[in-house]
Amino acid sequence: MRKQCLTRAFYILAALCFAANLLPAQDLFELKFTDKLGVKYKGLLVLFNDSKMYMRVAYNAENMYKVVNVDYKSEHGTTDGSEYLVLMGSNPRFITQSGQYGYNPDHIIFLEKQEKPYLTDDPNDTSKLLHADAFRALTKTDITDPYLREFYSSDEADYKALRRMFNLDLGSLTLKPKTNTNTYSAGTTMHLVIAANTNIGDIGMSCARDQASLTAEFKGIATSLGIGYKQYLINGDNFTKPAVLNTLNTLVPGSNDVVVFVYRGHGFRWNDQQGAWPQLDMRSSPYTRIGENTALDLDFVFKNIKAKGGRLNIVLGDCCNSSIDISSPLTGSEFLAMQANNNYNDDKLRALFMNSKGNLMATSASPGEVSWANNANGGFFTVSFLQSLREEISFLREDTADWRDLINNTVNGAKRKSSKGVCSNCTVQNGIYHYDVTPKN
Amino acid sequence: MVMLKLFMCLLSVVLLGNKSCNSGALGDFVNLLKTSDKVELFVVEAFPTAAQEQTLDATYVADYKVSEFIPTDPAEATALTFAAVDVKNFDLINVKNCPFMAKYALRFSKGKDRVTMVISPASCGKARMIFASGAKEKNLELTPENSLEAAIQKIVSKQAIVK
Repeated sequence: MRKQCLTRAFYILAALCFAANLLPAQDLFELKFTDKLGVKYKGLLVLFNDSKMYMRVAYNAENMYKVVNVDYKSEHGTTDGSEYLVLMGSNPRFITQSGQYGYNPDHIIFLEKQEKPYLTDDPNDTSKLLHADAFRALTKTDITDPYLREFYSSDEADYKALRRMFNLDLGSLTLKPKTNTNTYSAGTTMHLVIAANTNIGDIGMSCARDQASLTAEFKGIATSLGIGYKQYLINGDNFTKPAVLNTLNTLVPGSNDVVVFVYRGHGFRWNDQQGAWPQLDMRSSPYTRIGENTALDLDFVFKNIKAKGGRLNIVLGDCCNSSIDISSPLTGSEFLAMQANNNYNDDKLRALFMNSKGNLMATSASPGEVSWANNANGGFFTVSFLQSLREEISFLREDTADWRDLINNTVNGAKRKSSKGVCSNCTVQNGIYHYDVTPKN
Repeated sequence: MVMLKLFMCLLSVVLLGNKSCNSGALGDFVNLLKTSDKVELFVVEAFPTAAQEQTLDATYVADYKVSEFIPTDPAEATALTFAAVDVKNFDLINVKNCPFMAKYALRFSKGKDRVTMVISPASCGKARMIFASGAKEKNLELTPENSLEAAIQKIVSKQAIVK
């Protein structure tokens, strides 16, 4: 399998940059390199998502200890069938005194089969290419206050946020112990329903990857909130329309429960379809013909779940919304008549999952558009959702967690990933959503 | 972007020891396509038919029922072959989340060996490569403005004018 060919460093970073690894402790990486003059650099790479990351680079020059902040954007691609990931540096800004000289931002290049990345500050000149001395994901035990102080001044917001994230604030540990069960959480269950076409030849691997990411994320969230968790997976040979309908029939959320439904698979629209929401293609074999028995309207799923009366209902469809040359076998009225490491910021989690009520439906593409995935990372929309969710509940973010921000960031993230600058062969996908979420009381 | 791609291409040659940029990305199928002595173009149904449901009065290519056979001259066959092996026509990383809806099939033969490339045209541009034995299959994404669909369209539209 291709994934097994990836080096650990490349795999971890590629997954993190693009697919948002689920463990906050692995949002930080350490990179060491030495330039042609023998100056040694130590970098702390901090990842928010694939479009927002920075590195603090510490080094000694001009008899001074210098720290510079460089912003990064990632580009993931392939050359000769080998994957690469480039982190492109820009906007260098000295945190310490700059001294006489500036700092040319480094571009960091991760290649398949290469344990350590390469660096250059001039992509046009391969003679400037450096091979990193070391690259590793940082774990909780690596993050100490002295370590952070190598890169941050004590009054910086991110320094304080990282201290909170890694429980370095003794005050917060003693005065505000983390509680997994509380008055907010009592009697609440999170129901996660995933329909993922894991068997289909073209996108099956990406669907399986998304399923694994989603289940890990939501299970972790439920654990962190101290609420119940029920998981319903419709995948493999069981990926059928009757299986989804059967699952929906057996789903009985309580009035304070949270229901999350995620579809990952092919999607389409009938050539005479009026509604904006896609048809979910519930076939796991190309030999099965598309028809009434295999197509399921995302809007039907949303209405069905909404009618069950859970407090918060989130329905996501990561699939195409492009027309096929087949007319709808059903009339609209008939159709409508059918009725791990939990190191999250708990306050933000509660704002999203415990102190909100209402309904949210979103899909990855507007009518007429395709949506995109890749086997290494998953669906652009699902990946963007997980990235946005993690960003929304991050210690590094100062404002209140909010579903509208989250879904806006999801749609924009998927749009950015499918734009020409990031994916040269893609067409842009513009996700759409219906939002009706309010504070609980 | 272009600069970066050239740089990465150079890196693949310098660092990974590749002989050239983007060689051999289509895998095992390429040799047969390149050396085929016969290329046939068909218009086919959108979905394959399982072997037990196939009828004797119909023709099937890689289980897809043939609606029409489109004759090709040697120059057209060469153009189809070039397009079928041109790696620029395929996205090797990203996939569209749309259902494969077959419309054309290209059958490449060399002696008794056969490989069929079934095409789902835009907007869900995809290709499915199937060995005659059915033992091996490869799914490929067609790039938005690939020369393969263009070559097929050129032949099909000429055929329509002749009719």
